[in-house]
Amino acid sequence: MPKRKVGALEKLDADLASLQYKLRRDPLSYKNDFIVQYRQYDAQRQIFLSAPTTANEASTISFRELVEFVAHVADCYPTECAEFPQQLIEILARHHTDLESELCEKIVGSLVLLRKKDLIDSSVLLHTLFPILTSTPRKTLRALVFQKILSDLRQSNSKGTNHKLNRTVQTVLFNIVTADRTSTQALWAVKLTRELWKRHIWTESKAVEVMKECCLADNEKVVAAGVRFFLGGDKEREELEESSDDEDAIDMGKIKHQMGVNKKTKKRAKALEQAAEKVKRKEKKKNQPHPLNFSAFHLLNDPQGFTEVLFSKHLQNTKSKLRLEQKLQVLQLATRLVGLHKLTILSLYSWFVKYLTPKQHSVTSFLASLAQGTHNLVPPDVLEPLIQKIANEFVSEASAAEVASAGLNAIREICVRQPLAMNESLLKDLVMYKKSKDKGVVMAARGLLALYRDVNPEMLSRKDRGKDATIGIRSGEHKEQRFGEEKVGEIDGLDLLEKWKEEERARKQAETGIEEADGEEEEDDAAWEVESNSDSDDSGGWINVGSDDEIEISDSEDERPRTKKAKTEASSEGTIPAEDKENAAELEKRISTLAMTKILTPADLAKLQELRLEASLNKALPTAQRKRLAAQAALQNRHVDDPLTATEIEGLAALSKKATREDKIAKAKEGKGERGEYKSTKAVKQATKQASGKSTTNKEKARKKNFLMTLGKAKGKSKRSLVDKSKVLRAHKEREKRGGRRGNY
Amino acid sequence: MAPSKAKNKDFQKTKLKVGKAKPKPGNYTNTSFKAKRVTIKQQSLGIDAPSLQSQFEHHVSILSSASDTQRKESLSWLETALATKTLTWSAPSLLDKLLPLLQDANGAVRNKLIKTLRALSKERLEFLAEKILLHVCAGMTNININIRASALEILGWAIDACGVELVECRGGWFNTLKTYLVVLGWSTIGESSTGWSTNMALAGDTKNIVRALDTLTAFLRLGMIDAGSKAAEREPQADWWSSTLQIHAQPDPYRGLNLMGYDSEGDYSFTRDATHRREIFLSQFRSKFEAGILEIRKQAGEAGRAAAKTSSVVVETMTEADESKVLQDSWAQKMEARTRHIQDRIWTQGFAETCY
Repeated sequence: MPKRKVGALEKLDADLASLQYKLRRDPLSYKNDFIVQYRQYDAQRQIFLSAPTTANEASTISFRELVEFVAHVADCYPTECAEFPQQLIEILARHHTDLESELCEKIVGSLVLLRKKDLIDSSVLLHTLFPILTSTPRKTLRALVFQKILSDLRQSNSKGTNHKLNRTVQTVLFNIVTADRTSTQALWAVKLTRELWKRHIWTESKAVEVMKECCLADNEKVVAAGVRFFLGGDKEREELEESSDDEDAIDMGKIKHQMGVNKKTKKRAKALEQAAEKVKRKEKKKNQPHPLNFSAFHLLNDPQGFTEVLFSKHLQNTKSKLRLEQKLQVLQLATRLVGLHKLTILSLYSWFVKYLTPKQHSVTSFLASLAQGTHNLVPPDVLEPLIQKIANEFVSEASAAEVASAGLNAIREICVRQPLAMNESLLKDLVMYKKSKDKGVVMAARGLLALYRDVNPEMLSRKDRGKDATIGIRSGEHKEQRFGEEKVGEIDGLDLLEKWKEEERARKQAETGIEEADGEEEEDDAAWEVESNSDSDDSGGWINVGSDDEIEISDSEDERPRTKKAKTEASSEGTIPAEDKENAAELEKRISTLAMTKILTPADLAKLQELRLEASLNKALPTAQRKRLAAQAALQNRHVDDPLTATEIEGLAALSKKATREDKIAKAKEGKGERGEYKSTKAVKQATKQASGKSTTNKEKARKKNFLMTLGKAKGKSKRSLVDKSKVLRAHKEREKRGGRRGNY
Repeated sequence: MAPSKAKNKDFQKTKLKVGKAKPKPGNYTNTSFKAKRVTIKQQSLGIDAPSLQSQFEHHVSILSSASDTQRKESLSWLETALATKTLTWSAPSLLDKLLPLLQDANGAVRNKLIKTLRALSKERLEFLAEKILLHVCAGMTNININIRASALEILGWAIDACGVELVECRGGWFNTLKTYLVVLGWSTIGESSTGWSTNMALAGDTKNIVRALDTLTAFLRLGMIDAGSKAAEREPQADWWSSTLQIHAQPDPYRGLNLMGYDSEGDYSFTRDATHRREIFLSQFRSKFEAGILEIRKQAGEAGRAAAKTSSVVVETMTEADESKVLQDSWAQKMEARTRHIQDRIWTQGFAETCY
């Protein structure tokens, strides 16, 4: 064939990329060209479909390119490409197992592209991709499909929660999990749910339901994954939030400085504006009230039934194939649910008996789980044999110090949650260990002692009770708590808030008008404040019962009337003289009306928190005592959602062994930052100052100035007049007296 | 005399430096190599020359080679071998190798392909009409105009080689006509478009347009005029036994049963006979074809003449359609009369029975 002359315009079109570019610029004019290429795509598709299994990479390359091309311009010609998505879906569904890998990936990518262009909707896409995810034997394809599914879900939830889509996807996942309980396909459901949970995209109970089904699967891997979600999912979520906060922090100062130094262009000005906007938005977001994030435990539907099945299926069942670590995780989950929701599973406690020996592998985890699974509604007679067994097996003179301290600690943790489980003689025995030689054991025994001094001092021998408790017993303040007795809930520190509000009101009144009554009233307020402070002193350390707190916060919207906690009442009755009792009652009444009549705003709650903190610190107590109280409060304030771990049980064992030199050094270095080479503290400080982008002082600049540059000035010295010289000398004398240029003046 | 500097150098100890590679000795031989392939100079040490059949297989396997010249050479070998020598080959597997070359970027390879195809014996090629047509249609719409021209040439060959089967096979009629519409740029005729259209299809190249129109003329003639007479020839005699019990000689004799579950409608459907094809053409393509042909006829010259030929086929088709319509109408009338007669009889019988 003779060589044909080719026009410039034709030449350009000899590749799809340039044609695609032109099409996107002006779809109408190039419609003919598109139609030709669409026919070409169709022909290639037919060729491919005539022998889909034998197609290799070389033969499908043009088909692949055409698929990509059509997907990119499909939005310009919606009527022409009406069947295109369906064709791709069909190819993928029928041939995904033997499709050439690159073509397969291209088709998946094109489908996602079509989704982005809104030519197909999310549910169609997900319904196409899910079967592939669970059935394809190809690893790379699975990874790709998973990533695409995830990004699509994120995308469609980015502007607002797409409830409809979420619900359908969750149903699909639920069906995957429940359809075949022995298969590992459910792992994909776990993976997806966990990822979306972590990113705050799925926060509803349906997602938790999927994970719940996973926990009850027959496959060990699926069970482990499901349990791990419950134990770690929320923490993961928080961590991600924190890390994302740190990541894209914009240093406004730096950007502003750069603006000052660099050439001013519109682009840079715009960038600055955008950065400012972003920072502002972020600040706003930070100040917003925290979105209500229920942990997965709280969103569980029917925790009692779930925990029962979990326990009987994986723990009680002797045929369960779980490994010990997996079993421990299941146990942790089950006991946490029991503790959190105050469930009643009596067989759980008898099941524990055989594991409570020092020789049991990772016994501290078992002890922690036991303590975690105890709450005040567990019958004491169920727990008593367990405590007895722990005491017999762990706590004896013959056993190692670590073992004894772990045992005592475990007993204490159990008794914190259910004090009635202890009997008097055993307690007396255990308290005797405070005279042990080992420090860890001593601390553990003292912990137990301190607990019972507070909870039920009558069980202790007279000399162990301590001053406060003895006084308490004599005055009849200490009442033994009965089984099943619940404290009356209240908002901790509400009285403080009300007082503060009243104060504010008075101050405002004073400012506006009545001058005379001012001083008197303030004095009154002050007196009242002192009184109430001492009042909350007694209660401050010990009142915080976390679980009640949590419940109150969750249903604070409907603002039920709250009365003061029974215990506070009791303590206030103890301290306030009899004639003031009426006063106290009146006070209490007023307090209860505050929560009843007003809805507490976030600002109120913030102030409440502040006042609470202030009240716990602002005491006329010696520092050591205050510190001790604060530590105790911190221990008590452990959130009820937080798990009790083996490390907490083992904690005191560290005291038993003597610290080596290395340990001591490590401990000393703990809080301090990294220090590569030897440097003075000053040098370190200066380095950090410079690193944070701050400048040096004039003095530092002068000191660092190049010597040669200072020479010229020094030369002038010799030409000074006599008067000048004498001035300098005098100044020198003066300086000497002060102790140098940088002396102490 | 002190030893010369060059000699001295041989006895000097080389200094080793930290962080530097050890210096190579003087007699060092570099044995590393970068080539991905190792070429062995003597590949075959046999005394006998390879047999013709093995040479043939070798050349067929080289057809998908990456180098242009290799493809071209093996094609030319195949061309001569197929024309002159007796070889055993299966048409489907050979065409599987040959047809993808239709879209080869190299013009010389395509030209050789055309020649090779012409060298193939035509018997039993009709069985592969569908496959050939798929590749031809793909070639006709290729983005490269030269490839389109080659594809048209091959279509011309296919019309010769496959005969009626080309229009009867799956997608043979509808899809090919649609591709023609697109290639000639007639698919958007009649649509109001605001953009200015370049119509890159085949515009500006008279030679290609003439070629396209020539093949189109042949194709239309084959599909709507010749096919009727040929089908009549092929039709078995009106012997009831042979028509029902004998397997037909045509490819895919059980097509009517649609065992593969293909769509009976759409681009890729079977067209049974000339009347059916005529119907399709008249109802769906005629107006656009006529408009397009008219436009080209206005240009006169070579293209105009070719267009005139095409339009004559269209006109012929229409007259034939009219004739057959007349025939059909009379037949339909007959049928109607007959059914009415039967119905009457049934009615009267039923009536009689009820009376009885």
